[in-house]
Amino acid sequence: MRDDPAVIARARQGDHEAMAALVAEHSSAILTVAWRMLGDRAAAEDVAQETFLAAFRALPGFRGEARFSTWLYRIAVNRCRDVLRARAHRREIAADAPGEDGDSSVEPVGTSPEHRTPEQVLLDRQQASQVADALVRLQPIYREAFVLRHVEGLSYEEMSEVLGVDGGTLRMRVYKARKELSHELAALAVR
Amino acid sequence: MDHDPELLVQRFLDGELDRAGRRALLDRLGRDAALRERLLADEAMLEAVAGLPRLAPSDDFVARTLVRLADTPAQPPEPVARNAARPRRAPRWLQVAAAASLLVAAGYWAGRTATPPAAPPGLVGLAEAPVEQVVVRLVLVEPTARTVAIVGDFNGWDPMRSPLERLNQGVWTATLELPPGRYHYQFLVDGERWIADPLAQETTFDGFGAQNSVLDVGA
Repeated sequence: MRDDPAVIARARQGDHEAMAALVAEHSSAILTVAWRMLGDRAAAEDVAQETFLAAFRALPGFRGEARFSTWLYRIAVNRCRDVLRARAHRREIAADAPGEDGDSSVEPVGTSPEHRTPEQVLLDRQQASQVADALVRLQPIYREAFVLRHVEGLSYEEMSEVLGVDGGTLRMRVYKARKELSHELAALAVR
Repeated sequence: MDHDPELLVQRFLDGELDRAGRRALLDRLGRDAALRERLLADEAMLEAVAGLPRLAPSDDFVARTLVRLADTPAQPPEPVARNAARPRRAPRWLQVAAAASLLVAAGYWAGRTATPPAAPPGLVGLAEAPVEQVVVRLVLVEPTARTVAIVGDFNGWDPMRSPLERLNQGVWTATLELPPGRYHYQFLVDGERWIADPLAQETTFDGFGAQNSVLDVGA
């Protein structure tokens, strides 16, 4: 995600056009993180909206030492934690995993439907569903580290800013997540 | 260089292997079929994850977000100027009482809790192990305020997370459990007025012209 200090400064002045530009620039990343964390597109959209609202309300307190995108990730991750805690409190298991969204409009990145047979499309969709389901089954602290590292491509330094946890701990969390996912997906023969 | 094979694989997957490490890994992979299998499984998994779809915003996502923003309490276009940001002064006796309250509270709650009920939502992750927590009480005198919240590093600068409780005679207070560290924060009065803590021992500029208070929670 790109940070544009001039746009951020204008948003701080209450410029709605600048705010809209920031939402447009960052929304896909925030939506994707929330989706992978929560396994639920509707909840992800709520979290993404709340993330931007919280960010705009708090822009006067934004110190500019961290990147705006890092700051957004941090707010979004915290919002996701709140949702997950509330779910745990209600003893509800997320049944609305990404693969079960029934959203056929979403295609894996980098694939072109017209170049695949219907069987291949179905296979890819089933595989994506299994991967997404396995991701949602990870413990939240491993899931959030893994998502930031391997879905969003953040460096450990950036992740440390987002999660407030040192790099060594984050490496261990990502390692555990990778190990668990590999084990689970190998058992499902997603290879 | 640590040539533990598991560590080599993890560093490889993180793109953090130097040349010597890569050579050590290749050498190891040539001799260890099980390690090759594991690395292939990890690579296949990461490839599958990389192929997952991203979630694009719906066409009206931006518009709906801005509408919701308009429906929430307005934010001043600029952090309130330093003079205007000062909270309305309470009678001198009340300020002294509040300051005394802060000192007493700080003294009273100097102890630490080894097993907090929950990690604060801001900087700290979902705790894997008990994290030492320090109980801190913050006080603000704002007799005319309807609501006061504290926002800072420890709660992701979220005005909804840490509301202050109104006590008698316009004294507002909040008690926080924080891990040792250095935090920046402000008070948000009536959802629209950002002010630095007049009782803070230290303030700092946030780089955008506003003033943050600094809270040093000792280890």
